[in-house]
Amino acid sequence: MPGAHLPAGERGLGAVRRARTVPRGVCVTRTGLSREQLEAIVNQTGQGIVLLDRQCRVVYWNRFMEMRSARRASEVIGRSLFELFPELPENWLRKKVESVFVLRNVAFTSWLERPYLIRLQHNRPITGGVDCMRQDTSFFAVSGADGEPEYVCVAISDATDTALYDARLREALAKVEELSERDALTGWYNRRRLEELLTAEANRAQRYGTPFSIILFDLDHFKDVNDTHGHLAGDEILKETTQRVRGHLRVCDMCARYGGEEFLIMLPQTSEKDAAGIAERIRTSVASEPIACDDVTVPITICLGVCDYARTGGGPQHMIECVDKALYAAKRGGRNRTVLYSALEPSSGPEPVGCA
Amino acid sequence: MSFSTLTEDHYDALREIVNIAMGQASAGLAALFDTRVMLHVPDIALTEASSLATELAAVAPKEARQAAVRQAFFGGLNGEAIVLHARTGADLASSLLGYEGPCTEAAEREFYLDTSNMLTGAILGGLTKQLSIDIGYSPPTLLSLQTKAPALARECGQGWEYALRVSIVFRLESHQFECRVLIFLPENAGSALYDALERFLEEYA
Repeated sequence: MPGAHLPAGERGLGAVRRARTVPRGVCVTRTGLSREQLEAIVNQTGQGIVLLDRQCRVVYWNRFMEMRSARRASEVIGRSLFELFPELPENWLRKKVESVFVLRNVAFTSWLERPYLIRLQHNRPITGGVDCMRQDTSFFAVSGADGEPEYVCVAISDATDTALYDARLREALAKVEELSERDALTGWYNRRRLEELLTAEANRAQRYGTPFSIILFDLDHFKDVNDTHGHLAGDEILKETTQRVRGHLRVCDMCARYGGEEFLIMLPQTSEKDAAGIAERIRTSVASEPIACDDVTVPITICLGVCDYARTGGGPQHMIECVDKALYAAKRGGRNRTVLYSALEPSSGPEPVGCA
Repeated sequence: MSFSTLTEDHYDALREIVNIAMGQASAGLAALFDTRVMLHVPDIALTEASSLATELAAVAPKEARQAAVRQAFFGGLNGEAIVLHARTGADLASSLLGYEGPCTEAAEREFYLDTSNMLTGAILGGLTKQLSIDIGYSPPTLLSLQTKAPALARECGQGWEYALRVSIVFRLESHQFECRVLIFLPENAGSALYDALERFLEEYA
């Protein structure tokens, strides 16, 4: 078990610097097992076992290592690990081995941060889809006869299967997110779903001649907010703002995240005039009280563009183009205001519905 | 609550043991890093899961968001360590561990895992050696790269009521690196701790 030392008086397993004179089969350990039996266990275990001296020369190389590296123990014993595997990060590994000698602790690496320690073949050449073995490793000191650390043992576990499962899971989650309707942060519809809903509502408005309006809004100076408070706070501010906006809408109104800080609200059975009123309510609600997130409160204002299907006609794409023009006019007009598409005149500036 | 059997003598002994362990730890780490290592006076207290959020907030480094690493230990004593790192100074300090080149996110994560493992192992190693206890360690894992006290407490406050907590601040002045090691001994470690401290007191009292 990592951290446990062999009792004083025992040499490390497989130390080959001097020929051993103990006859075969003799019990040499406190466990009552013979040296051959212990060595058989080390060779059958599903882990790579490598013993290094303080200069990182190989002292022991078990059968797992022989088979997966295609190098026999006789070829590697006594040689520097860095000579055998030149691509190893020498500085880092020497430090790691040294730290175990000095601190006499157990050190670890995980495939999550460091895909492998030593590049070895993995066991799934046909089905794996990965270039080499992924590894979890542990490093621990093995004492000499004097009870002082003599070697560092590196135990290497094959984590390729785990890594593959993890990769498949992430792929599946990414697909689920793609297919889902919702934006993860705000819970509002995502862009994909928005386009479907907008098309459906526009068709309904055309077929039945019912009013249908949309509002496009975004947060003023949001890039500055991100720069000042950080992106995580920025995300929370988006979330809080959208929650506050939602509170002013009816159940049948549909809200979607159109872009990074741009949002679109679909208001079925609503004329442009009524939509303008809702837009103003939303605008003043956001502007009236700063948004609280964590331990900061941030004053936020929004710009809104409003248009209705009757006035724009055309398909959903055209509606979005029109409402986008209205939003742009609101920005140009000084922000924190609502602009109606219908009020946009080619020659003169737009009449804002309301502003701060 | 099994820690109720611990007397003032036990707590005093534990404080002394932790101090000695820290001294040994800082000597070992100073030798390894070749730089001055500051380990501050430890704080040992009984802690409740319900007040974990407040406690964590009180000891959070000045940076709002921290990296949090956890690691379990088992054997003669069982428990879990949580190490909180301010997310500054990793670039500088990682050169001590032999990292080269630009600091990728994977390298930063590994750096927090490695330093946490070293500190936890050094402190617990010194502690258990004095108590003549043998323990083993699980590999450390990252709880979060950017967490704040309330979120961390929510994640870590499940499934237990009381624990003994040893809190140690570790600092490398020359490299602007600071972190806090929190070692938790859950209730079921109470009797093992009691026995070990009793033995210690008998030997040295």
